[in-house]
Amino acid sequence: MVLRSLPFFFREVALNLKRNPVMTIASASTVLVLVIVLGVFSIVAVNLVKFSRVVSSQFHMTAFLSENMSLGDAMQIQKQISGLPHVARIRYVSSEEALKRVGEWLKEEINLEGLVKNPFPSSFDIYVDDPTAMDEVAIGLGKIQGIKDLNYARKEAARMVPFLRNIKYACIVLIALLLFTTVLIVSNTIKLTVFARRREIEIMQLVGAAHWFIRWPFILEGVLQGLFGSAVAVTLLYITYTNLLATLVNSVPWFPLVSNPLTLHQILAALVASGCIVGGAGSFIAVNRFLRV
Amino acid sequence: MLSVMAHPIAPENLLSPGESSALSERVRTPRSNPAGCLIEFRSVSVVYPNGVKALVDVSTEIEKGEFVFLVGPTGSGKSTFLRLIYGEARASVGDVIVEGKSVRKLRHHQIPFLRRRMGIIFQDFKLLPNKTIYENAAYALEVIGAPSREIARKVSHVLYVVGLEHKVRMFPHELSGGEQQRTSIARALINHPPILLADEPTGNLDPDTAWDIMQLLQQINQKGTTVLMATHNRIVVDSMKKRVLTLGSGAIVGDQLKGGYSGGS
Ligand SMILES: Nc1ncnc2c1ncn2[C@@H]1O[C@H](COP(=O)(O)OP(=O)(O)OP(=O)(O)O)[C@@H](O)[C@H]1O
Ligand SMILES: [Mg+2]
Repeated sequence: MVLRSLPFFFREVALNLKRNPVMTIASASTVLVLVIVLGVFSIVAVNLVKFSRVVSSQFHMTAFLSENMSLGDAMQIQKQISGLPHVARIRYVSSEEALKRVGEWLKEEINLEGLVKNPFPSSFDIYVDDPTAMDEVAIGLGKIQGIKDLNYARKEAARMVPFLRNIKYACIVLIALLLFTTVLIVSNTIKLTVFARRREIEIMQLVGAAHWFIRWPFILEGVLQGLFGSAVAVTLLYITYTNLLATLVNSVPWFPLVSNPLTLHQILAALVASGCIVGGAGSFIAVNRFLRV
Repeated sequence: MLSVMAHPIAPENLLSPGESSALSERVRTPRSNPAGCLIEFRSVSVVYPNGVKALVDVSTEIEKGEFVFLVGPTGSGKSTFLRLIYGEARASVGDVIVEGKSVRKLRHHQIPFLRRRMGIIFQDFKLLPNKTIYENAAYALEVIGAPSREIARKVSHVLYVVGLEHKVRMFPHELSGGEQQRTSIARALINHPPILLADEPTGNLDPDTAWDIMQLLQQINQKGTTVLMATHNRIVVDSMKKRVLTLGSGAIVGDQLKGGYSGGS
């Protein structure tokens, strides 16, 4: 039945967009504004999260091992380290891996392929449960035979770590709140546009239209309004962010902006999808309110 | 019309249904065979949410193929009577049976199917404001998923029949009251429904057009459609010599075959 009436539904939607452009524009521009707000915040959030991850990943201790240590000795040392208080996690970094890491880091500047001898010692990355306890851990590490050198961030900087970790959760909570508000405002706007047509809905019922038959054109219309609004918003966001990226990469190169196109596209696609869903669902709920016999 | 206005409380309104039956020419008694009856009211009372008692203990039967006028002063419950049949009003007490099914027991999703069995001409037209005359008439066919070829053919025909073929692209607010009424009539007739409910269908029409419409309703009735028409039009009722159900203050106060407007008196 739905399929058979599909041409009618599309005609209905097209005619309504033509005959009621004000309503469409009202809903679409509400979606536009809110998606921009949501989009700006999401982009800021992913950047903050990336920034905090990059920064907090620096806050571990690195214990360099004496040269030419056997794997067996290294394992012995690992056991001793894990026995220390406050040590949460240990990762063994072989000298080959260290070379590779640095090579990737510097791949544009220096070519390390030509090295005859690997200058990097093997090491342990040591993550502690409380960054402020690093000094205490350091004393313990100093007593272990075979650890040649120790490298870790200063106490003051380490205090940032819990804060940075919480940024992610703060962002998630804020985005959820923002999304909730968006859903409320958009569905309210759509409710108003449907309310303006409640008499039509009543008449449609009186001449024998089934509920789904009345509902579908409204849902399609809501989806379209969401699509219009969010598509324009996403286009604006995309243009702005890529321009910003191009400028900032040059002027503030140390800030690790999210430039991965996949992440960006995912965010923008999610915004368009939520625009459509909120539009359609808002219409659905609003129409149902007037579909009483 | 005028006499009704001059005497808002017609004499029959003062009588209880039992007393009025003595006055009527022939009171219809409930039939023993309910199979032949299309619409049946079983002791129906309607109380609106605001407390108004619109119908009080109404019982009657309408057979397949009948032409029935529903008369009575304004506010006597004619529109409510019709609304019960298409499920817009629900009986507070009693039940209405249409084509053997209790309207009261119908679920919400079954109501559209009930309404597709009938054409309804509304007292206030109930046209879709954002649709042209053509689209308004077509809507009754769209809801049943009719093919577009059939829709085009039937709409042109029915709009021609009610004399609106030159206004098809206009919107309801661009039409006169009578033209809107004729659109409502066209929409009600387009499905060739077995039941036609007409609430004051000639109220906004000049006498000539009114007669044309009455002619049309009579033709439809002769082809087998059961017609139930609420009206204040004394001349029409008196000259058509059809069954007349008279309502007064929500009760049936007269029921005559080949009756006249003044009902039981
Ligand atoms: N939706 C409603 N809510 C409350 N009361 C109503 C409603 N519709 C009608 N009434 C009341 O019910 C009574 C019967 O109304 P109804 O419309 O059935 O009368 P009617 O005979 O059709 O009158 P008219 O000849 O003026 O069309 C009236 O007193 C009216 O005020
Ligand atoms: Mg009425």
